Amino acid sequence: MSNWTISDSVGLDWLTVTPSRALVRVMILAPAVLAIVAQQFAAPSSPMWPAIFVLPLAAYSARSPDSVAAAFFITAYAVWWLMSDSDETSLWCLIAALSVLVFHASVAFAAAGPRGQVSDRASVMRWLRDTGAVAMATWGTWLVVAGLHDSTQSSEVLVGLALFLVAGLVVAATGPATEPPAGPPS
Amino acid sequence: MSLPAVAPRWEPTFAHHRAALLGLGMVTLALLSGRADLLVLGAPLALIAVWSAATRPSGDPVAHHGHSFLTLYEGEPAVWRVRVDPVPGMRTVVACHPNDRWLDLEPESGVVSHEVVEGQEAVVEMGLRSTRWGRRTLGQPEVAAYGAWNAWRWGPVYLPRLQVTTLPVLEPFESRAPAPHPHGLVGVNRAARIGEGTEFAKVRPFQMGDRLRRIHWPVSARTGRLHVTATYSDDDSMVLLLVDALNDIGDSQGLAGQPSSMDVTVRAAAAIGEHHLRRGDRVGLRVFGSWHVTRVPAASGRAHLRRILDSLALIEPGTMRGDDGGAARRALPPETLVIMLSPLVDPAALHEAVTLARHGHIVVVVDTLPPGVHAHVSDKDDEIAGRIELAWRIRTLERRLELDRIASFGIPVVPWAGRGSLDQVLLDLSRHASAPRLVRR
Repeated sequence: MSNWTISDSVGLDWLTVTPSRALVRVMILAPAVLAIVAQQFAAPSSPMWPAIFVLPLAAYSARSPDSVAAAFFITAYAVWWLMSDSDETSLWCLIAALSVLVFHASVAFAAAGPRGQVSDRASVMRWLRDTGAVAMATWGTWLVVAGLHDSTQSSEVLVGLALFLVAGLVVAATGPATEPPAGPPS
Repeated sequence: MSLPAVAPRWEPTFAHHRAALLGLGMVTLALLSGRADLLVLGAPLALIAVWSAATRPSGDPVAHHGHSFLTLYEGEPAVWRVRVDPVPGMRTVVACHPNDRWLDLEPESGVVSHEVVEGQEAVVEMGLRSTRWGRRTLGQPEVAAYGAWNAWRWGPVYLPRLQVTTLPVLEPFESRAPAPHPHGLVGVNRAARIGEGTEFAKVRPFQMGDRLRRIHWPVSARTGRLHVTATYSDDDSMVLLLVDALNDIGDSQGLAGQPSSMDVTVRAAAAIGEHHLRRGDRVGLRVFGSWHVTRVPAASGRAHLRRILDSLALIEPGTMRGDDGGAARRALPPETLVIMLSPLVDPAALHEAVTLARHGHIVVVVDTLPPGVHAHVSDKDDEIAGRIELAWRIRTLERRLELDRIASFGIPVVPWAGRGSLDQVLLDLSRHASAPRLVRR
């Protein structure tokens, strides 16, 4: 494997970057940066200084994916978004949501096992497929929100959609685990 | 081997907590504040949380570890394999094997993840290659399993450590010189075993390693397959490999890197032993300066080579300081060809060589000090480092004088250089073998 290593004079490795690890790091940091850019375009008048606190959290998430840093990043970002006076139906809102999705998926992917793990092709393809499916559902949600904007029934539909998501989450969380398959007939 | 029931459970990961709490929080906040954009922002996390919770794995996977003991040659590749029984909802299996100084792992990080196909056993494989002889217990491997979106984790579970016995690599070594025989009995008494000799035994099919001049062309032409003439070995030579394990000088960097003196010693002993056993000679091994292994009685045959290699792999240099090699001389048949392999840094090795020669044995010393070895100075104090280097230079000068003295006793010292290293000296010894000598009994 070709890698790039920084060592000291004693021979101790300080930093080793492999192509796959660098790619995962980029997949974590790039959506975080894109989400901040989307926030600025969605609400141009909002202050930029929260990025000083948000970006280090994303960087720490890339370094330690199996930690609470990623949750802090998304929380801080959501609060920043909530405080700003953004256009609720703009395309930047969808881009921000997709960035949060890719950030979360990349951090979850990197959190499996210690650093430097080598994933097989099937594993990477499944992650891409699953993330694509959720991205499509997010796009559908945005379409509903944008389509119902300024409609008289918008609030009822949005409440229903939100309640559906909350109810689904609660039912799934409290429901039984995946049932094991039935054994062969005796 | 199946693992004992440590009973790890499926636990939610940070990823699941993040998706569930933030997804639920953002959607709820969107409801309360009437912000539709917050609903869009929280929707993917909420969907992932629902997905992960709905496909939560159930049941306890069982990890099976292939083998706990492994014997291989230096540089020989092997596969470390873990099998995990499938359970519903399990999506990924991650296995981790710690690296070791003299172990090459493929992949280099020692961490492999494998996608689980529903209902099928997950098999995670990792290539490993030991780059130095010896017996070592490797680090403790681990295995973990994950559910969808890595939201649920089982493990990590510790697997039994792998004990690897690495036999020294058999370097190409060929000597055209015969083993010197002081009594001149070569070919008089044939042995019962097959080997290099003069007396016809049988015609048998060609095997790898057979000399081309042994091919029996009439039988080969008649049968269509190569056949060779096998002969009985001449029961003439006993070769004793005497290994000096008092010191290991130099920093061993494995098979591909700079060898230490013990690396050269062990690999040379393996090569010389293999060469003489292939010729049908009886070969014995004695080691001084190391616990665990002292002697292997002289015998012949391919199986005996494995005994010698196993014993060489057990050497731990410097574990029996003060051993003067006296035990190595006990019950040694007279007129034995003793090939001593030593870096010749400890005076005990030189003393041993002289004593053996005085007792009438034919002694050849193979110098196994690697070229270019120097004092390994790790002290940052320049003054101390300078003194260490000076001490090493003085020792090497003394060593040069000692080599001259040992030559004055008629003991040849040959630096190890692989193929043909011992040709000239063995020819000279054969020539002088019949000359009258004074020995101490």
